[in-house]
Parts: sequence; C-alpha cells; structure tokens
Amino acid sequence: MTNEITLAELNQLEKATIISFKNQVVGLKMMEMGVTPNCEIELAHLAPLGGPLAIRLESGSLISLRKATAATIIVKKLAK
Amino acid sequence: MLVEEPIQAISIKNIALIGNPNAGKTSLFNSLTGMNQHVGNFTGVTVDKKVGQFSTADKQKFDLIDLPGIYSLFAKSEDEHVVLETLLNPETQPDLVIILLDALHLQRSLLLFTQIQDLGFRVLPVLNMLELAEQEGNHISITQLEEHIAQKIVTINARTGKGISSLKEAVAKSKALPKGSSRLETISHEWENTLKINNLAQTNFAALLMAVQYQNLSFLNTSERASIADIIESYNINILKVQVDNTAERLGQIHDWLHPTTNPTLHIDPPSSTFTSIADKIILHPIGGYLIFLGVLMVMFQAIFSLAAYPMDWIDAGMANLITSVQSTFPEHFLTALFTDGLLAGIGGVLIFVPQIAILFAFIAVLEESGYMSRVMFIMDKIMRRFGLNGQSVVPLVSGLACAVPAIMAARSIPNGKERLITIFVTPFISCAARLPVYLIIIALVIPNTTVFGFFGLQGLVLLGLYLAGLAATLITAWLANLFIKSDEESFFIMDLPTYKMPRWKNIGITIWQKIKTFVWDAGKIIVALSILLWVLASYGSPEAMQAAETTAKTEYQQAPEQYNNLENLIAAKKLEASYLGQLGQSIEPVIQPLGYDWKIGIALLSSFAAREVFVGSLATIYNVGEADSDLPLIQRLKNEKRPETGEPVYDLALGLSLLIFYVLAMQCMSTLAITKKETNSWKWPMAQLVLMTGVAYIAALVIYQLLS
Repeated sequence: MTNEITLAELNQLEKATIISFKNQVVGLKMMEMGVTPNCEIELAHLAPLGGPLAIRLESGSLISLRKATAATIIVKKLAK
Repeated sequence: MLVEEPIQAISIKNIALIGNPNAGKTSLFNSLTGMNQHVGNFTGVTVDKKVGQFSTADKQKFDLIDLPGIYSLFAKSEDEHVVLETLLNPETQPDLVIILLDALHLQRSLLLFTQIQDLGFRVLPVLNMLELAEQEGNHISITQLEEHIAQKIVTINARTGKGISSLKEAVAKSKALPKGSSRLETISHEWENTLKINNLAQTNFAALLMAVQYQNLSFLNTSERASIADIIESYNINILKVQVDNTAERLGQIHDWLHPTTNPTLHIDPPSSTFTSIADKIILHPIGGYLIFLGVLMVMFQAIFSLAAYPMDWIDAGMANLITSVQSTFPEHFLTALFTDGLLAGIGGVLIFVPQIAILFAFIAVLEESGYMSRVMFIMDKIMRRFGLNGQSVVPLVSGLACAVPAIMAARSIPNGKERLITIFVTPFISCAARLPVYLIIIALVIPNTTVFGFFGLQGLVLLGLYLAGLAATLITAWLANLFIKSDEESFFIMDLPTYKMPRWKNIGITIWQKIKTFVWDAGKIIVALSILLWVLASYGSPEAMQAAETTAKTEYQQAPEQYNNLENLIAAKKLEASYLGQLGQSIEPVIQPLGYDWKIGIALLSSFAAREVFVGSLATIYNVGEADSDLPLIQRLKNEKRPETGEPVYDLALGLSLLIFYVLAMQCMSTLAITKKETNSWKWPMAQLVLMTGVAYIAALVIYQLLS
C-alpha cells in the first residue's frame, strides 16, 4: 500500500493507525505499553536534533521512543 | 491443577504488590506500611527490594513486598526479571498478590493482571485513579469488569488514602479468594503440558514463561535447564513469537472487555486540553524545554550549596561544642583523645553531608514524582547518546553533584547494560559535594578575591571552571568508553511519559529518610573507621622513633631557642614527622614531588581516600597536632607555610591549581569504589576507575605545576 509509512516519517500532530512492527522485540514492548496494531496514535512531540518522539494514544498515554525505533514501525497516515 | 483447598489449611503471610510503573504503587505501599518498611536488595541484582509490614483490624500481620513497576512478565529489563523470578521461584512465591490497576491505563494494567492470574496466584485487584479517569471522561463499569475477571475489585485512591481500610479488610478475608484460573483462552501448547508433567511448572502460563525465560531464572538447576532446552528444541519453539502471540491474544480479549461495542474505525480524539498536554507544550519545547531544565538545575545547585550551608554550619558548630565539652569534662587521656579527635570528629565528618544529600534527594524525588524527570530524559536522550550515555543517565550525573555513591545507585534505572556501565564508570568525574570543601580552601588560598569585568568574582569563576572541567572529563571519558565497550544489546528507550501529578510529600519524606539512612550507615561506617585510623596513625609511631623525635626537638631547641616559638610546638611537629602517618607521607613524597606537593600534602592526599573532604580535616589535624597554638585559622596557617629550602610560600598559584585539578580528576574515594564493585559485580570496573582517573589526574597536575612554577 502506498500510504503506508514508518512512524519516524510522521510530522508533528499528524495522526496515524499502527499497521505492523518490523522488529518483534519492539512490537512486543509497544504492545505491552498499549500500542497495538490498528490503534490510532498522534505524534505529540518531537525532541530536537533527531531526538526521540512521543506518541499519544487514544487513552491519553504518552509513549516516547527513539527515532530509529520508530523507523521499524509501519503506520498508515490518517487524513486530517 | 486448581484443586480446592480447605480454607483452614491456607495460610496467607507474604503478600507481593505488583503494578505498572507510575500506577501509584509507592503511594499504596507507603499508605499500607507507613514507616514500617526497609529497603534491601534482591540477591544478585541491583534492584531495590522494599519490604514492609502491616496488620489488619482483626490483628492479622502481613509482610508486604513492593516489587518493581513493570508492564509484563516477558522480562526484558532487570526490573522485570526480578518480578518474574520472585513469582516463579518456589522459595519466594507470595501467598497473595495485590495487583494495582491504573484506571487511566486499564488496558496495560489488565495485561499484567491476567498474566499473574494465569500463574495460579491468589490475586487481589485494586483499582487506583478512578476519579482521575472519570474526570477525563473515561467511564469504567466496575461491575462489568468484575464479571470479566471473575473477581471483586477494591477501589482506592492511593494519594488520599481513600479505600485503604476496605483493602485491608479484603486482605484479611483473602483466604477465601479463589486461586487464579485463566479467563483467557490462551493458545495451549503441547509442550506446556510436557513441562507440567516434568513438574517444572504448575500452570500452562508458568510453563510458557519457564520456556521463554529459563535462561534468566537462577533457581533452575542444570538438569532442569537442560530438560527445558530439550523441550524447546524438540518442539521447535520460536521463543519471541510465543511471547508476541500470547500478548496479542490477551490484548484482544482485554479490548473486548473494555470496548464491547466499539467500532474499530470509530475515531476518538485524544484529549488535547488536559493540564499535561498544555504543560508539555512548554516543557518539551525545542528551546524552552532546555531553558526550563537549565533553570531547574540552577535552582537545585543553588539549594544544595546555599540552603544546605545553614544546617551544615549548625552541625559543624554543634560537633565542635560537643568535642570541647567532652574534652573539658573528662581527664586528658588517650581514650578521651580517641573519642573526641578520632570518633566524634569522624561522625561529624559524616553528618555534615546529610543536609546536602537530603536536599538533593528531595529535588530528585519531586522531579520523579511529578513526572518531570521522564521529560528530562526525553529531551536529553539525543545529546547524551552522542557520548554513549542514555537520557536516563541525567539523573545519576546530576546526583553526582552531591555524592557519587547514591548517584551510581541511581544508574540502576537504566535498562541498557552498556549505557548503565558507562554511566557508573564516569559519574565519579562529576564534582561531588565532598570536593567542594577542598576547592573552597585552596581557592581561598591561591586565587585573589578580585572581580573580573566588574562583577564576576574571580574565585567564583574558578569554582565554576572546576565543575565544568569535571563535566568535560565525564563526557570525554564516556565518549571514549563508548568506543571501547562493545555490546550487541539493543537500546530501545521505549518509555511512558506519565501525566503530571502533584508530588506526595509523604513519599518524598520517606525517600529522603531512606537515602540518608543508607548514606549514614553504609558510607558513614567507612568514613568513621578511617578517620579513627588516621588519627591513630597521626598520633603514634614506633616508640624509638617517637622518643628520638622528642630528643631531637629538645636538642635543636637548646642549641637555638630564638629560632622557635616554643618547645611544645617543635616536639609536636617532630613527633608528627616520626608518626606512622608521617612516615607514610614521606615515603610517597618522591612520587608527588613533581606535582609540587610535600609530605604533609601527601598525608592529606592519602587520607582523602576515606572521603575527599577529609583533606581539609587532615591538614587541620596535621597542623593542629604539629603546632600547639591551634587558634590560628587553618587558611592563615597554610598561608604562613614556607618551603624550607627557598622560604617561598608552599601554597602558591602553581601548587594550588595543581592540587585543584588533581582533586577534580582523581579517584580518591573508597566508598565510590565499593559501590561500583557492588553495582557492576566485578572488581574490574572500580580498579579501572582507580587507575585511569588517578593516572589522568597525576598527569594533568604534573603538567600544570611544571608549566606554572
């Protein structure tokens, strides 16, 4: 699918749906923190200079992860 | 497996408290146990083990262990290993598990809950933060949830203490609780039954955990490990996939519980106007965030050094008064001197740090409890990673300003082994509070009290420069260590940013109390013992040498009485030179002479190994013991000290700067070496610290002295 990108490519305040995890260990950890396939997220914060990013879940939780980790997570961008 | 036991046969004594991080576990633990708790260590690992006692209204007594906050039993970090090990090891298994559910994050709370229930434990679900969830428009139907998990839920507010009495009542009646049985239709594997038949696991989920985690379970013996490995091989088990599938299945089930009618495509707007999201716009701002962090650090720094000065003065004056009054009450005797100059002075040297440690940990506890600390990690991670550190290294490094011992202990929260090791290794380079008295006295001696550009005090600038030099050494060493230490462990840094909360002062008070207790007992013992040793070494020598020293002094005095103030002084000085400490100081003089140090400084350097601030005390001892009139302040006496061969002052600029840089860089603290050994579980790292830091310090001090003198 063409509109599937990685989480690292998302811009601030853009929303997306989690599709899949390329890295199973990351996937397991993310799922345990409440980030599951099909769940909607919003890119809430970006630390400067390529630092970590924070995503907000529907429940309101904020999860931070590094950009390299985010690049292993496939998402589908949602129209604004 | 779930055989009904007669209620009389059940005994419930040991209770474990389990929950997600930030779910309010500490508050609940403190509410239940109050001050009736102590911190220890889990065997073999460096995770704090908090154990407390509480009793219920019907006078039953229970032991409560506070396990680290985790998300899952599929252990990836040391904290998770500890919980897994405690739950699976037959010797440490609790009789009851209290599981704290966070109403704001019910999904992940329930994931952990179902895992523990599936292990076959008696569990008591406790729901926290229900009011907060409702304020955010999150309505939770407790009755429905109770139906799903087939258990009554106790609702509490861990912060206000509401519901604690109903929780205690539920604990008192917990014998009647059923043993956990899975509500989840987990994929049952044939190999799980094989493990159960081999008597390695009691339930299917325990078998699954054993299979995927057996390498980390220390209670398994070699043959048990081998049989698990055999099973994994013969059934061709994909360990990672088993964990992912099991988690996905649980989450699916939990999703159905929580959103029975939710259409998956229905879009729910995340709350955007809560206090947390507004505050985060400022605190995580690309520029503002760093300014705020800098401001927080400056306030903390100021408080550690200015605010702590008052109680430190009181402790100082109090100990001095105590020593004087003991000296005047008891006869002049060896035991009196040992008690006052050795023991009491040593205890004073420990207590003097209590205010700074209390203030530092008050700050850290407030920053952690409020949710700010994880934001600091978020904005600092990228910068710290350039040096092979981690966003979480900020806490140990900042704590290092007070004392490397608690700072190195604080590195426990870093999940990545390599980053944790580097953090431990470099933290002693951060100028700790014990270096400050040394800095202050030497700066006062050799740096003129003038101003630069009209308003910057030169002495203050030099002090700032010393702290920056320490920071530079920290970062450079971390960067170098990063190149040399190899690791294939992945560093993920997946972390929850909790909502901002008002800190609970009771929790902070208890934290401060525990840190002070640890410092006074652990580091204090070493400092007191060494100050007594130092005093003995400075007061005694071989009887012949001491006798000879007295004779020499008398002869010299008789030959030229006009050269000396009085005989007493001369005898004291000669005796010190002849004492064991004097001998030791003189024996290292050839090594330290190129740095400009004489044997008296050599003695002070050696004694600094007890704790750096002892440097000042040792100089005072050396000159106190060496001169009978001790009324002259130490600085004045140091200023008057002349080199015997040239008549120039000993404490000139070259020596002063050489000493300062030596103290910035050298590893001179036995407590730090001891804690590094404990935390890394090897003598390799403390020895590397000792050799590397002291070697660099020697070279830097040598270069500075040779250039300036």
